[in-house]
Amino acid sequence: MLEWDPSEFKKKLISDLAENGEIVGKFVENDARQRLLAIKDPKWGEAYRSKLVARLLSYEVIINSNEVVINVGVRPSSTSRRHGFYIEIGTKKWPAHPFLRPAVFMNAAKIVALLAGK
Amino acid sequence: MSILTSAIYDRLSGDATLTAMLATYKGLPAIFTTDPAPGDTGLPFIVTAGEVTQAPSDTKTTRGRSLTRDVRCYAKADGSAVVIETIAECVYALLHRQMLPINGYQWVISNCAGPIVADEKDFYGRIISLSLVAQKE
Repeated sequence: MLEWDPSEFKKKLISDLAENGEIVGKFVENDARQRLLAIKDPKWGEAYRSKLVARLLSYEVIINSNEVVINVGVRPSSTSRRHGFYIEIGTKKWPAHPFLRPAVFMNAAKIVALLAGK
Repeated sequence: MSILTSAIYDRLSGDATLTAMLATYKGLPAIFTTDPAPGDTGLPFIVTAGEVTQAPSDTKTTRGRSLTRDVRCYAKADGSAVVIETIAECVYALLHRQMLPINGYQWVISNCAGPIVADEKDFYGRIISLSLVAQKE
């Protein structure tokens, strides 16, 4: 006889999502880092991009009772909470080089597959 | 050229309330589809150039595209954010849930997020992100 246990099912689902969320987080982080390191303009910002922002780029998986949240972004440092922000959106004088949003939205199908454990 | 460039430019430059708040550049409203904007432009101005993301949005029987585009507004930092916020709200109203005519595509849905603050040392900045799904006719 088949017994349906919603709480067990939910626990297993959250556990699977959290496990796959780690894979998704790492995948998106790596993709964003590749995009970041491919930026060549401006030349004077190369060390900032490759040594500081790339190092602070990371992900976290947060497990709540009804959801699993995957955050990918640039961690704040002691000097700024907005590292990478102006690379992503540009400034008045310098063009935008989006690297975070494309890493998510241009990989949507892959992310869904990874979350499903495929 | 991006399918969105002329649609957004036409929508923004066609609004008299918005263009009255912007500087002019070579006789036209300071709305630029190149990034960065020309160095000799006055403030306030708007930049919208290139898609942030672009992905297929196909179904079994239809073909489409899913696009994200930033619209960046800049004004002089003079102690009051009234001008920049009015411009940003105007851009939002012109693009959020609005019909945008795009050649060869049938508008499906558009959404704006923001404005988010992107202030710099001597300038105020506000960014509006437009997400749009366009389906082939």
